[in-house]
Amino acid sequence: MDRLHQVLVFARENWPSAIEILILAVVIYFGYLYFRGTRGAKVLTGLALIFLTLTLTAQILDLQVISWIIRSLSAFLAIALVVIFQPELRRALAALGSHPIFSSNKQKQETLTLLTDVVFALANKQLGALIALERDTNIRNFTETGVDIDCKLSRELVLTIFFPKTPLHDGGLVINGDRIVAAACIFPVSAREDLDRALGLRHRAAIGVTEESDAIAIVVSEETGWISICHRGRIERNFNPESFRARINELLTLVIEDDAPNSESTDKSFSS
Amino acid sequence: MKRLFTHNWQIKIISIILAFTIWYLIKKNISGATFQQLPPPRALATP
Repeated sequence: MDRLHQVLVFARENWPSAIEILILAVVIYFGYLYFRGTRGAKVLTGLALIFLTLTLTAQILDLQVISWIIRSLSAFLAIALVVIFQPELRRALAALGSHPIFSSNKQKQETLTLLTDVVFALANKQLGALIALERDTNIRNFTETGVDIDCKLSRELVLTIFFPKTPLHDGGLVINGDRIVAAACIFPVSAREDLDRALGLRHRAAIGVTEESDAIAIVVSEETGWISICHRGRIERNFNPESFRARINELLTLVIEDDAPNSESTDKSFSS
Repeated sequence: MKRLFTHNWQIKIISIILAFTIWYLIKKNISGATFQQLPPPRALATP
């Protein structure tokens, strides 16, 4: 009973500190998730490492001069970080505003219908296409290799982008929510040996991007017009508009536990 | 709810450790920088 009382007193006295730590942890976690995979992430990691190491060393060894320098520089460092990461911060705030929490289910279904329509239009015209749907993992390191588009998803725009001989038709298109992020992006090509040798570079790039992130890749074959969906290094095909829509919807709402990359690969049926 | 704890758990643990380190360092600096309280004024004995 006395022990419980002590715990209650401790909790009552220290709850503001716990909330402070929790807020800091949430900011660090989401900050890391956002900056992960960007060019700025390396700069930020380097700066954070130097800052933390110096601060910890100064505190543990009681180095007063170093502590004073760090304290004096920290205000300037905060301003410098805002200046250095101004584009990223602007994008982060914009992304916060377009977070799924703030978008309705109706909007998601409309985007899905539009995407299905676009993909089947590409397939009917036999226009080769590679589309990556960004999920939780940031794939900015791939989008940065392409051309920034940043506009609302539209059927006409996607058909124009993948029309042969246009400057942006080669490479991948990245979609986040209902927005086209970038086009002509270079995705990593999967080097897996168990894949069918007949798979072209477009399919291998689709598998590659899904191996390195939780993105969903959609490929339309230029030769056959077949549609494939890649996810976690697996490739699936033979879709009609209904099954395609249902599968994409399922993958977009899939929880991570069911999402394990080492679960049975369906690409065997594709490669055999 | 389970996903809240299991999804990206390594990053979440590192975030909490980092948050605690930063909080501790700042807290230590704040408490070290507080001004020493002056003793209360004493009444002077009038002649």
